[in-house]
Amino acid sequence: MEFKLSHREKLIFEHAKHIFSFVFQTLLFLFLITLLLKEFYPNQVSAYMNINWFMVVVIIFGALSILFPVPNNHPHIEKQSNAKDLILIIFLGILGAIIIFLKIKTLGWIGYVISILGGLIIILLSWLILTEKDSREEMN
Amino acid sequence: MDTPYVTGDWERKYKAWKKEYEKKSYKSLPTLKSLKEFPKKPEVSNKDITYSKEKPMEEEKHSNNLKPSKFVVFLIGIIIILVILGIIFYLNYNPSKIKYQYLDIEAKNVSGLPILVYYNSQQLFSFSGWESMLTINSKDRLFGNEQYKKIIFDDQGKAYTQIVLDDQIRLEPLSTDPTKATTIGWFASLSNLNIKDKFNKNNKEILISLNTDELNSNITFKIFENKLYFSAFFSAEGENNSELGDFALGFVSPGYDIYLPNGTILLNDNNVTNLDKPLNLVILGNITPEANKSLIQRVSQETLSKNSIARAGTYHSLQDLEYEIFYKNGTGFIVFSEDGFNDFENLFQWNVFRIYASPLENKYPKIYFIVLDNVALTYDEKSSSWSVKDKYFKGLVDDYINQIMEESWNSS
Repeated sequence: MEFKLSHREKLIFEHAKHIFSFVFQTLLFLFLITLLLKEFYPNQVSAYMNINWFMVVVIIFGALSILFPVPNNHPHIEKQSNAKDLILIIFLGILGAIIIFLKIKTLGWIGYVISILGGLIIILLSWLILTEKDSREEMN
Repeated sequence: MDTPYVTGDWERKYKAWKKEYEKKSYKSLPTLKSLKEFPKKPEVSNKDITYSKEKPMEEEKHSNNLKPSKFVVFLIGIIIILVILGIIFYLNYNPSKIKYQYLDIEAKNVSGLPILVYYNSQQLFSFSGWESMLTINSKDRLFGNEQYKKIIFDDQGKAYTQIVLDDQIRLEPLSTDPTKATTIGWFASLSNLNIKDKFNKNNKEILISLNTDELNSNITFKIFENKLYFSAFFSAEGENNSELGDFALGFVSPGYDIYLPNGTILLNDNNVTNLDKPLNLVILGNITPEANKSLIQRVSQETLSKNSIARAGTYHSLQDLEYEIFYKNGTGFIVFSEDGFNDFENLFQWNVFRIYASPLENKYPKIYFIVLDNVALTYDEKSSSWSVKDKYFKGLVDDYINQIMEESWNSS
């Protein structure tokens, strides 16, 4: 079934798609930041915000952005992973390890081991995802 | 004979003509300035040329127009996000959680009128209506009754009162109307008590009203936003206000040592010893052996199985002190009043402490409590004052008190 839309209606619909996508991406980012803050400052965050309501709103906008996706007009450019990507991955791995350590430091020596392993897993998985396509192409 | 062809003449004419022509040509050429200002003709790529009749020019124009404006998407998106976050904040807004999550006071509508003081969700100490005193001709507790007495009956149906003390269970014949609570303090009934929390712009007030036909009194605790101190203000109005005397605000703070302005430290010597022997059963009054036997059976096994304890601790009554500092394991609080000098009563035996406030023209001075977090206290001999170093203040106690008094006056 296809709706016959006027040019004006099509224009509004296109705008709506982009708005859903933008709102979802921004809210998801804010939600993840809030979730991280709540781990360290539970009283302060819960005093201002109900995280469950926030999650429901993010889910609603996520569903809308999937149902009405933004058409991708840009050609997909294959990019070789470079040193910048590697530095970013290592930085995120270290950040992840610090966050894990802050949460489990009370465990003692095992806290150090788990946080280091967690950081390494982040680095390895990120690198694998980044280089997956390249290596497949090389094989072909 | 034809005119002879002169080569030199022809060449001369040709050169003159060429010079003239080139001069004209240069004049018609654009100047460098005009060349710079001349707009560059846009290059036409293959993509922009429509070769097929399947995509008419009008449709091409429409599809280009369907590209959304980034500004509109960004603007509407930001508005939607702000509205969503605003609604979530608004619906979840709780002033008591936000403003007073560090320091809070909770008054309980139960016998004895306990008023609990919390810091970082942990109870710091508690005020008590039972331990507070008011003098109107005579001195008595502010709020209290004999509800701690239990009534039991013997085989004959005769009523007795049962009181459990540290070392004994005391039974005695009931001599008063059991339907009425025996008044001990100025206020005895919970129906006389009214507790209300009031949220103002910059502070929270806990209003406690005690009203009878003869006497009306109020205690107002005020917590200031994002401050680590609070004030307590007492007021009373009786049949004859000239009879109003001292008010003692009583509080229970177990385990605290007391630091006095002259550098003396009163160590908390409260000691509760388990005597490893059951409570003595003491029956008062003329009671027959049969009644005595039946009464013993009526006392619960739980009460009888309790061990006797011995409670010890010194008593200090101090006059005209500027303040008292209560300290325990890095945490503490300073007690003072806007009067400047007050009487203090310290009962380590019961961990009960009182600060006395005298009325001036029927008006009592405000009493202040400053909470000290992770504090180090050292006595400064030069200034004869305690030096405070905690998370929020570093300096002499006198300066801290002056600063808070100024803040409090400015805010009110």
